[in-house]
Order: sequence, then C-alpha cells, then structure tokens
Amino acid sequence: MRELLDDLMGRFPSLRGQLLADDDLAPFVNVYVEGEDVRTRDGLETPVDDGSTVILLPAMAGG
Amino acid sequence: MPSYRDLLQATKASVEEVDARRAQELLEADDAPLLVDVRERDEWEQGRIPGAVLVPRGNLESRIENVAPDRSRPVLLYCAAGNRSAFAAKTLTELGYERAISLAGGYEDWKRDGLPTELPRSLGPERTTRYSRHLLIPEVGEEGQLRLLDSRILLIGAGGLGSPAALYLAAAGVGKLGIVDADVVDETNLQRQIVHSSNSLGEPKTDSARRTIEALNPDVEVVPFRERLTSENIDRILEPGWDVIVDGADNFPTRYLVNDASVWHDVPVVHGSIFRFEGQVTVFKPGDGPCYRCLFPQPPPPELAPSCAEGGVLGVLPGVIGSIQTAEALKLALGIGEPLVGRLLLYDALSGEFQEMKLRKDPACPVCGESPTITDYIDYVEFCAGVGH
Repeated sequence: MRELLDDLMGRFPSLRGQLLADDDLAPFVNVYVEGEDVRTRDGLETPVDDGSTVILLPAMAGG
Repeated sequence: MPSYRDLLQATKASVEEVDARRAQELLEADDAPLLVDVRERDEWEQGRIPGAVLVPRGNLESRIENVAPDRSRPVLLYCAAGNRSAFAAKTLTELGYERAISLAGGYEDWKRDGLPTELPRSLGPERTTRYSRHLLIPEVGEEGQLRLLDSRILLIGAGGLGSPAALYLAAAGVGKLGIVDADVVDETNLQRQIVHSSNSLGEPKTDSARRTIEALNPDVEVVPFRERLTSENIDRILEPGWDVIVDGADNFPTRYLVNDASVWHDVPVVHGSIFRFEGQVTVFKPGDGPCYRCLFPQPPPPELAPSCAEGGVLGVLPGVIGSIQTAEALKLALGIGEPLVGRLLLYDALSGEFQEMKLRKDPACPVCGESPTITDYIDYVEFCAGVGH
C-alpha cells in the first residue's frame, strides 16, 4: 500500500497532505483494499494484489 | 325446513363454547389459542379484545389460513353476542381445525364482565387510500403505517440532502419531522434543494420546508429549529426524543456534534455526505456498530475540507444520497430489513458505480470505545472557520 500511495503522490504531489500525517495515514482519510479498511489489516504495509480495488475515502462534510 | 333459530341451536350444540371468564383463562395460559374476531370492521373499530386478529365472518374461509396456518393450534372465535362465532367455529372444524372454540355471549358479555378491551387504532378511510401503496407491502401494512405515523425523525439540515429526505419522509407519513437549519433560502440553493422554490427566496429554510411539507401531507407535524446546532443547544433539541436522526449537515463541526450526541442519547444516525459527483451513506447505530468517530476520529484541517460552496456538487447527487438515507431512516423506523450498519455505501455518479466498504467499531474510539476520552461536546467551529454553508 505504501508503494502504491508513493507512486500516486509522486504523480499528484498535492495529495500528500491529504493522505499522510507523520508518515502514516491521516486520521481523516480511510483506505480500503477490497472493501476492507487497511487499518484493520497491516496499515500501509497491507499487501495489494494485482487487480485489487483500492478506495481512498476522504471525510466529506457536504450536505 | 329448519328456521334460523333451529340452525343456530344445532350449531351451538355441535361446537365447543366457553364463557368470558373461561375464555380469559384460556388466553392467559401458556398454550393460548389464537383469538379471532369475526365481526365486521366497523364493529372492530369500536373496541376489541386485546390480542385479537380481525377476520370478518364473510372472509373466514378464504383468510383463516393466512392468520392460522397451523390447524392443530386451538382458535378462539368471538363476535358481538356469540352467534356468528358459533357458525364460524363450525366452519373451522369443517376446515380441519382441531379445536375451534366460540365465546358464548361474545364481546358484549366480555365487556359486561369488566374484562380488558382496547380501542384498536386504524388508519381510517382517507389514510387507507393515501398510504395504499405502503399497505400493500407486507413488511409495512397498516401496523407499519401506524408506526410511521407515530415516528419522530430529526433532520439535520434542510439543504441538499435534507430536501429529498424531508419530502419522502413527509410523503411516507412520518408523524413528526424535526428540522434544524439556521439558513435562509438563497438562489444558489435551488439547483438542488428541492424542498424550497423560487417563491421562498430569502425565507428561513425551516419555514420554507415546513410549508412544502404541510402542503404535501397534513399528517406530518413539522418541528422547526431555526438555529445552528451547537454544544449549547444540541441536548435541548434532542431532548423531546427522536427515533432516528438524518444527518444532512454541510459542515464538520455539526457532524461531530451530531455523532457525539447520538452516542450519548442512543439515537441512530443515518449519515450522508456529498461532494461533486460522489456521495457516502451509512448508518451509525449506537451499541450496534461503529460511530462517525470510529471512521474519522477527527475532522480534517479546513484547508483540506472544501464544502459544496467551494467545491460544487452535481444537483441530483443529494437527490440520490438523500433518498438512500430516507430509505434507511424508514427501515429503522419500521424495524425492517438490514440497515447499513457497519457498511458504507459509496456512490460515484461519474462512473455510475456503487461500492460497499466494511466499517468496524474501533475499541479505541474516543467516544464509543472502551475508554472514551471525549465525554463532552466539542465546538470545532473556531478552527474550522470557513467550512460550511
């Protein structure tokens, strides 16, 4: 997961502040692999298989 | 040829009859019989024996199997005076029911003996017509519709999400709708906030929404709270007691207040949020699943949290998300189905896809976890300034 996010942030540098805090996932974003929160697995070390669906879920307040 | 009197006597002689006292003993026993009222609906509406089901004599043969599929379970029948129920008991015996008992003296004797009665509630003819499409659904029916008419749902925000929620909850006949919103209707709202209209520009949203709702369904009582939710007023607003909160707020401070209050007041929250083409829906049910802080322990810094005012939103998106929230709120109010507890539905209008994510209760959650660190409301307003509206 860390590798994947590094690659993404390399391509879209402004994402860094939206995703990471103190080199870990920021508390206002959740990352899911195949519908499972990576925090309930190995965090940024969670393996991601080819073809897996990864979702970055930001907190949104709009209503 | 036998007269009516002859037939009645012969019938009464051939069926098991009990008096009111004995009937009450039977009904209080562990293996109580099914109690069936065979009178007409208008008689039933004027009072009945508690626990009875209504199957008018004229529909007995065709309907009894629906209410009493097990022919080995005794059935206790009553009418007004014990005559129709005697004929009904004979019919049930012919249909293979092992024990069909008639209440001699009927409801009149039951009442005269001072045994308990109740006035059943029914929708009445107008509501039966208005809600007929609900009544046809077995999971709702008359009982469910009465439950909706008794239910109290609090809407946080009468904006994008609150608009479809207000309209559909009102149309569904939710008896009491609280609406919390401090804003007035402005032109930029009308691209998506369909409970308001061009005629209500400049008017408080609570007034505008109330007018629309009352025009749609006079069964609904609107309780307006024309104020912004804060740590000062939230307990007062929740105090009357609400069955469900529909969170359609447009800012983080309110969402965290709603979450913390819902945990402490033990009220489920149907959460929805939207941004541009994307929306999220889930249900936070205290004690039964995660809360908002399990998902997002704290709000993002303001610069990372653009509101709809800054980022825009496709007008129909709150229609989709607010309607899903409404379906969840109605399910909770009715106690049916599988609410979106512990599941978050993500809708992307651009790709036309729904995704579902599993949400887990966080044992370390600062509000609903094992050792909560937040025990009082937090007004995030100051350091979230600029977010919202």
